[in-house]
Amino acid sequence: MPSMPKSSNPSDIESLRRFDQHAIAAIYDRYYLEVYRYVRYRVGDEMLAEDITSEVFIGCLKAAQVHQGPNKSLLGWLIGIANHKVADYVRHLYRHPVDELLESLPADIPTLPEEIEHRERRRNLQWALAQLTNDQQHVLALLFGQGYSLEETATLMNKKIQAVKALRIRALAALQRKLGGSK
Amino acid sequence: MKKQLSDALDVCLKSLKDGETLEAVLARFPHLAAELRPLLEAAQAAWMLGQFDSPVGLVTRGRARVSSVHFRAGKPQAVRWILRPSWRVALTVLIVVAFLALSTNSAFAGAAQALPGDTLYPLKRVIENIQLVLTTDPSQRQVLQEEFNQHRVNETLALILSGRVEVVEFNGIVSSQTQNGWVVAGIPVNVSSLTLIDGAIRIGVEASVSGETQPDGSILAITIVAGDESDLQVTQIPEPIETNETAAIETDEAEATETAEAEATETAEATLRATKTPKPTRTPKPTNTHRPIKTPKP
Repeated sequence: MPSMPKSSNPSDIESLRRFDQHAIAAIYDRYYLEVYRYVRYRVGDEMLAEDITSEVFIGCLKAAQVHQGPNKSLLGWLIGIANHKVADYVRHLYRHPVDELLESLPADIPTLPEEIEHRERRRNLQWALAQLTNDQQHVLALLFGQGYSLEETATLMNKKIQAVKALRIRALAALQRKLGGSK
Repeated sequence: MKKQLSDALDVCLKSLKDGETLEAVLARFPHLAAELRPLLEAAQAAWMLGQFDSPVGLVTRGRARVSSVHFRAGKPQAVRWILRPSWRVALTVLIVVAFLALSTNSAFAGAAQALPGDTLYPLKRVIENIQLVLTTDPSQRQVLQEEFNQHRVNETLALILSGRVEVVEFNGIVSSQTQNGWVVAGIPVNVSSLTLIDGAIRIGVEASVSGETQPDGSILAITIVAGDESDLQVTQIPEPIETNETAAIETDEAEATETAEAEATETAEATLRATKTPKPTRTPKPTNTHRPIKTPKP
């Protein structure tokens, strides 16, 4: 029996297919913040994360309207769409480079030295994370951003637990090297 | 060793989460402390990245956006007969048969000559995929797959010759290392700081490249993925001397590739060393030059 995060509710798929307003609202309330946190962890930017999260849910509704969508887990499906949308965004950024991703962190300027140091550390961290492969970023976001267990992460990534563990080690090692390189 | 490290990491992460200090956690595994320390420091950083407050009004704003689309979209349409599973299967078979029947027609013949970026190119790839799906004999399918791989290389060479800038993808053996990257399938592949490199790119390993053709006859790689180590076809060039820490991680990766999981392609470990400094000392012939570009097969 695959292990899903506690917030996941199997009856949600049926609710989505019914497409009634109350069901959609309930699905939205249950998952929006969770998907937002995942996207925010990956992209680091508040507004961008909000935009991508809304796109994920709009995509979900459009899929439901034409009788497509998840068969097993709605949360897994939403996180999967979010992962693809973030990857699409990174590809777009590669082809059309604008300002650096981290330049778009919140504009409020910190004044205290601790705040400045904290802000700088987050910038470095976000930069280092963005240098990893998509799968490595995905596994770190699920395990350390969302706090899912190895079993839950394995289910969401459709991998075996041992594979997730191996990927976790590679991701952490790569992150540490990037952090070392950014100092 | 790999499993031991992984299990120790599980215990350490749980202890850190419960509030223990890094030093206290490491003291429990003195024989693995050198390898665990960088992983745990990275884990602490990864946790820190997840500590943020959600903006005020986030849920309300998002609900408004999504609801507006919901109301515009209206109720779902009734399932049309054509969308029913049984009809979809029948329709797919019909389309495949039609493709095969028409495959000698001029449009399809034209598609066979199409290059990436051409209007008919997607059709060419669809036809190839159908051919692969319909080939049940594994050995024949392998031959066909290799033939198609060669098509990708030929298409790339043709684009380079014509000076077109297009996104291409191809597989090939890494034959040498250059100042800016590698030579894959005889084509110089350059990397930039934005290139995603997955796996250990070494001479003799098969690599999958996706990138853009450049006017100078090279490819600027978007991604390079190394094939399985078992694909190694020539003598492996000795690695430069590594630090103990890096060497330990590399050993773990090598073990990971032995698992039945297809995770081997996901390794982005050793590539990081390669991307940092493609050192001439790693190849026996540092004066290696780009091969002359072959003329594509008609």
